[in-house]
Amino acid sequence: MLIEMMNVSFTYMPNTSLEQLALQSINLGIDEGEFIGLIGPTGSGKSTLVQLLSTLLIPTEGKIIFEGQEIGKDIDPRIIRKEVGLVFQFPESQLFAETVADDVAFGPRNLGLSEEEVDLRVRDSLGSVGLAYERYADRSPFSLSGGEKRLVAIAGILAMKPHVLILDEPITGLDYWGRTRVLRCIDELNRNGMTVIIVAHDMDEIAEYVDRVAVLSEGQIVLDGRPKDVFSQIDYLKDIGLDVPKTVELLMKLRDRGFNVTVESLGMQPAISAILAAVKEK
Amino acid sequence: MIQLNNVSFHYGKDKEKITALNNIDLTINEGEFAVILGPNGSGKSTLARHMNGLLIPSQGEVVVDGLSTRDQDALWQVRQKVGMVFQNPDNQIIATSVEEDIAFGPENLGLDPKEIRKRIDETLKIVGMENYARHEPHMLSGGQKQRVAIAGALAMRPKYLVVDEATSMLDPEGSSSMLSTLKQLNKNYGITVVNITHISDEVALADRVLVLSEGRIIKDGPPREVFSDLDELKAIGVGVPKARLIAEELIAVGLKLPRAILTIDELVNALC
Repeated sequence: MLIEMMNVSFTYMPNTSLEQLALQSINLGIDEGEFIGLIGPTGSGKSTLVQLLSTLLIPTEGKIIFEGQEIGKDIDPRIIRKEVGLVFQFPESQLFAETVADDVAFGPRNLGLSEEEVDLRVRDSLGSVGLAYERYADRSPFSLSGGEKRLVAIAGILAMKPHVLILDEPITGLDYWGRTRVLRCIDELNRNGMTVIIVAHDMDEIAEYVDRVAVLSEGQIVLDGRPKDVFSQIDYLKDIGLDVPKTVELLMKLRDRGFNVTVESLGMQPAISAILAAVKEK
Repeated sequence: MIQLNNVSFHYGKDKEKITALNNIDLTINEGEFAVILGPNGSGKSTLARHMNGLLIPSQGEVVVDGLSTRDQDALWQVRQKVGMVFQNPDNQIIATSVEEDIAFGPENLGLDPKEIRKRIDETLKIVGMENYARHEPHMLSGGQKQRVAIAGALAMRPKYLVVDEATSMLDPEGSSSMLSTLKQLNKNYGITVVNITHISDEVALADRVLVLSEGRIIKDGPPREVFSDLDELKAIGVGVPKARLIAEELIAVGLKLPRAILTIDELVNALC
């Protein structure tokens, strides 16, 4: 097991009148190479959870184990910050350098690496997000499209060579092309072995990519499993303020109207086949 | 009525000049619920910022109820008529408590404290944040902050509300309740709503859809009419409502379905 959260709780501003319990008794294990979608309505504690995983916050109760070592006890949280790369919401707002290459180089330079190694990492990480070094390195990040800016921000995190990549709402605010491009890039990183956690409130596009979905509601993990199992809980998810992918919603509604459909997969093509089969049968 | 007469807008100068809006002619009528769709970089936000005079056209004129945004003396009045809500609430919230934030606008109008209190309570209720009046805004989630920003705009009792990508940070329940709030404001209070978005699933609620591409309006009509030609929309990077995509796939393999489907419920009814 790569990361294990054991009975973790977190309270903002404890012992004040504004005390707010954000997470309660979280038990969550993350295996090497997993691709996890973390979903929940606004205010459910998603961002708090990822900040705990990347040690920007320290649990008020419970412990987090990274590769068998307890963070803060057996291992310094600063080491974990290099291992767990966190891409914040709207990371492009943190771009600042004059060129794409300088922006991506910022992290590795701060690690005190040689310029040669820094350059190598910049090339590698721009390559990993599908931005050709020759075409993008010298451009101003501010001249890029929304999706490209976000890819540069992701490359900046990859240049730190993290073990785990956590992305908070990585496709929010992007248009159709931007979303497709960023999702394909993340999928590719996972195929190449990176452990990935995507935080989202809308699973419609992400559902087809992840192997596992964990659902947060009011600071607790209420569902955790394969996407098709989690999304079959359509009524429950709607109750807590979440949607299911449109394909699932359609199949479920058809089933309620007497069609014989099974929700075996979340993708478009399986849904089409299931509908066709059911329509012919009727 | 908000009129854009032959409006062009350029960022930068000379060689670096980028044309964000290119000869836009557009009238938003009173009582309309309009959606402006377009990919990133198509000029949506630039267009929104022209509607209340945050940006002044490089060429042409924007006229709100007879007042030109070029007229410095009228600008205050224009901004009272046209409320704006932006994508990122962190840039819009200024006070240290939710209720003070909402009070900021009305206080500047010199309203009676009782009236201000009334507007705070009323608008927080509309956006479902009545239990958060005394909370600190920076402790709220992104979606909650966005609701506070909308309440702040509503507290000014605007005639027009321009909403720039305001649902993109909300969860599905938050965004559908926001959309139904906008619809209610439009229907029950007669507020004209211009919803600027790239989420195509939001068009089903609108009376009118405008599609922006490279600074020009390339489509303008009722949702079903605008979404009759999907290829053109896809080519410019405007997504198509998922229900419609599924319907098209089913039509392609031989099912007989109407071409006007925009929501899952419409598709379910067509299949039954």
